[in-house]
Amino acid sequence: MKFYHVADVHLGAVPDRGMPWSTMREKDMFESFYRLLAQAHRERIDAVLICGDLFHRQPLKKELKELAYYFEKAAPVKIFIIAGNHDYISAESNYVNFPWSSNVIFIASGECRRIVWKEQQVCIYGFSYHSREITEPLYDHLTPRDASAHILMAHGGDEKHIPIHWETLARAGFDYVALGHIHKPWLSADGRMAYCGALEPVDKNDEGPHGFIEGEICGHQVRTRFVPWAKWSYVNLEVETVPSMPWGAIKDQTSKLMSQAQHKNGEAIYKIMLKGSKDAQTAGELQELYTLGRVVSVTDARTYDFDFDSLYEANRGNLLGRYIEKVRALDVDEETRKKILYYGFNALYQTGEQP
Amino acid sequence: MIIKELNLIHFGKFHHFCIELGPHMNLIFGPNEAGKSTVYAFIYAMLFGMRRARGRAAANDMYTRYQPWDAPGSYEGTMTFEYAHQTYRLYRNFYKEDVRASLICLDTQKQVPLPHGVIGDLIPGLTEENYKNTVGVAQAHSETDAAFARSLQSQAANMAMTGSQNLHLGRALDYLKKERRSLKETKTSASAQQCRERLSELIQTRDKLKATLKKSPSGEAELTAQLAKLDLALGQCSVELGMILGELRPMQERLEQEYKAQAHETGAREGRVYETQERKVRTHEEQAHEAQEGKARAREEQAYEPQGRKARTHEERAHEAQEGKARAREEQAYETRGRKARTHEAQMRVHGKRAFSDEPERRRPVIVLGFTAAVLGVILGIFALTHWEKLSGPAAAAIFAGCIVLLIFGITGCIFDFAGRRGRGVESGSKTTHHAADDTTDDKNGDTTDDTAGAGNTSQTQQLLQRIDVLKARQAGKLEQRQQLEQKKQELTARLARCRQTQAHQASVLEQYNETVNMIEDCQEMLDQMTAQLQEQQWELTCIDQASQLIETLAGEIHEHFGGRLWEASARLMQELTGQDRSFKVQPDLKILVDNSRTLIPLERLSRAAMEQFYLAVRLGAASLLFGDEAMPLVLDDTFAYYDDERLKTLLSWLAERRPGQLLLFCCQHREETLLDHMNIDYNYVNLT
Repeated sequence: MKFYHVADVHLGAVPDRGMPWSTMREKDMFESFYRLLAQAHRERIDAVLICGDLFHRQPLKKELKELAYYFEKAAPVKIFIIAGNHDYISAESNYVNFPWSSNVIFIASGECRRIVWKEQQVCIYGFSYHSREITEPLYDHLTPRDASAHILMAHGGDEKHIPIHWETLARAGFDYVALGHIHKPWLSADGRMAYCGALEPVDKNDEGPHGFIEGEICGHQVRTRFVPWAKWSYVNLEVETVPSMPWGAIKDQTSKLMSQAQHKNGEAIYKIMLKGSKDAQTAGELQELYTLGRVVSVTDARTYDFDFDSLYEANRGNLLGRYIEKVRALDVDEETRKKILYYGFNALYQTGEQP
Repeated sequence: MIIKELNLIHFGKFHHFCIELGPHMNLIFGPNEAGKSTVYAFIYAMLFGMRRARGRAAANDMYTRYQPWDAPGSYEGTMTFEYAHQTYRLYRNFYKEDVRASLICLDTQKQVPLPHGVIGDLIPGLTEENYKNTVGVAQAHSETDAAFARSLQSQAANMAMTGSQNLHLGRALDYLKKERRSLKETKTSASAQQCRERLSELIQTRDKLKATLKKSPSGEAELTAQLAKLDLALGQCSVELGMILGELRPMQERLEQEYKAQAHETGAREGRVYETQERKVRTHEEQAHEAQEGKARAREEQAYEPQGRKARTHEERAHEAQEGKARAREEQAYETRGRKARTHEAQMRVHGKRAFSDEPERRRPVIVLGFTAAVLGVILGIFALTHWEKLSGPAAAAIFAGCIVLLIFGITGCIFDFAGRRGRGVESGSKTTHHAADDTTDDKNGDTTDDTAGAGNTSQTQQLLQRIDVLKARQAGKLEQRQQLEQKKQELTARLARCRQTQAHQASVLEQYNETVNMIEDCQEMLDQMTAQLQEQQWELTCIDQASQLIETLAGEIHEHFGGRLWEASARLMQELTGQDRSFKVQPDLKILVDNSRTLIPLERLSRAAMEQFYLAVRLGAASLLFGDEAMPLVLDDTFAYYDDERLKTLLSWLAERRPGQLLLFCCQHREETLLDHMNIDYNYVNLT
């Protein structure tokens, strides 16, 4: 049986809300998934396993109607779905009683169900979330039975979302455990348990490749491979600076690095980090870096080019030395101390006069 | 620093007016309006440039006040001075269209750069602020500026610096205030507040929608199930009615026969009346029954449409309609034939012949009703089978149950009717035989045989009548029951329609609810982001505040240290100037408190002259701290107006003998000149007249 293992599609999410490309991203979340269904139909895949968080939040009826159309178009591909912690089945959920087409099997129950697929000699197990959090390790006691192949569709793996005891699950007897919830793809050493990751990155923390897992199960043997599918990607860009670098040069350097990364990564969104050191004379408004392109965050990780220890030694007994002394005596964390030292020192430096 | 020469090329009322000055005491005399203040202003302008005010203030600013009247475009001068054993010449053009300054070292003939265009570029510490508050005492302006206090502290701190920076505590604090303001001005705080308000509104909307959802429970399934049960009951009722009719009709026919026989004996009229009435009743009942059956089926078809089912096909309805019409036609035909037959009988009776009814027994047999029930059951079964997937649990169960019941009744009715027909056939045969026998008997026996036969017929008739009454009572009961059921069905159908309307509304409310829930999540996400930004911002503000506080604390500490030194210097000077040892205190803002041996009182409570002395002492003390060993020219513009002769003499003596450095004393009276002459103190005299 050939299958696509996909999860965390998060339809309806609005990534990078407020940014100029946000609307495009929202639309592409849907388009990416519909493309996948079209490919599954074209390639005559037997089943698509959607392991939770198909929607980013409670799906609206009109959204389900639209989705149902694409599911029906994908027939005869069978679509198996479980609800995750984001689109969990609430009392008011539109998932309940929705008239899916005959090729869609929505496992709505909160208790594990087994779907026997006789033609493929496969049993598919799974259950849906009925609340935002589940703290019990509900996968620990599942045991497949009979001689057919067994696939578990699961969603979770952290403290608040069905903690998983990996060794227990590995020994349970499933031929393949299709996991959702973690947005980064991961495959176990024996290839029998996998997180396919999010189909498209949902927020700026979703770095790296995104897509789905294409697999084939034959008897109890399973083969899988990760298929990169996402149209968008978040790229970390580190810009090294030195104190002597003027602000204009920093901007130009950032721009250049962005062009180089753009060529490699397709539709990229950048997270810029300034590294190195700066002195009090370095001007520059970090906000300007947002105008260089699709920049979602700018972090100034530069350290100050002040050797406060040496400065203190050189200015012991005078105003500057006494200021450093006072800051060191404060009962604050190290980062706050550095900040106070910087602000006071910078103010004195900027307003002082050279003799 | 020693000012050697002032050349007012064009400044105020002076043109090419040159003043040569001595290295120590200089007395610059001029009566009122002679230009003393003009020369004082010239010195100030040469040292620090001419600043122009903006707007209306420009009309009275220094630039306008001293701009030459006759040649406004020519507004310049030079100052020659000695500093650090070098002689310099400073030139300035004050004219606004051509503001220029140049400094030349006359010893080396080299240009000395003035990056800021002020003398402070050459002589450290000789800033405008320092000059005004120490060595440059303008007329009636002995007090120091409020801001000078802070500056003095910084500079005192600077004096302790061995590093390469000259710090300004006041400016540093202002810088931090500016940083703080720019952080606070971000729109995040306002946006977060808006977001919070929006979130609150959305939560209220969500709660209202949720309450609306809860109030209206779903009842469609229940109503549909109830309707199905009702239809079943109606079907059953109809079948039972049919059975009753099936039983009643033969009896009525038998009764008719009896009456015919009796009518023949007792009078045809009564029989015909009864017969006609019976016929009318039967016709009415049958038509009513058929009509209701037809309606019931039609309603049944409409009612049996729960969500997702399709209505019965047109073919089925057509078939039903045709059946109904066929039955109606059959009845009419039967009635017509029956009527004709009875008419023929009556005619035969009139002619004295016994009409022997050979009308076929073509009334509506029970088998028709039974057949109808069976057909209905089959149709329902087929319908249910084809749509079973889409039927809800209770509805499917109800339909199947109804189907089974109808089939049972249908089969039972057919069997009953068939059994009844056989009975009637035997009975008819018996009647025929009986009649024939009667005929024969009548012919032979005359009245006696007839009377016996009549008595037997009457008791049968009574029994028949009783049974008919019973059946009619049952029939009436069933009709009433059916009516009630149909009424209830109508109500339920109406309720179901209302329920479906409510359901549609509920679906819309549910959609709105889910949309609102989603908006709340989005809003909460944005608020969380903004809150994180605000927390970051708050942390930055806290760090700025801490830095400011520390600098303020340092300033206070410095003042304590510095204040003591200033006090010492000022007290020493005061003692030298006045010959008295007056206890006083200089506050951080350079306000002076004087000890009057009871308490410390503000300086302003003393006499003007005393105040002037104290201010001069503080100025000179500050100057000694600021300029150190480098003596700056002390420029006093008519400062001693309030001094008495003795005080003035002491001061002049001290200035001449104890204070190093140059003194430029502007005066409008000869008192200073007289005193200096009297004390044999050398001085350079300049007369401005």
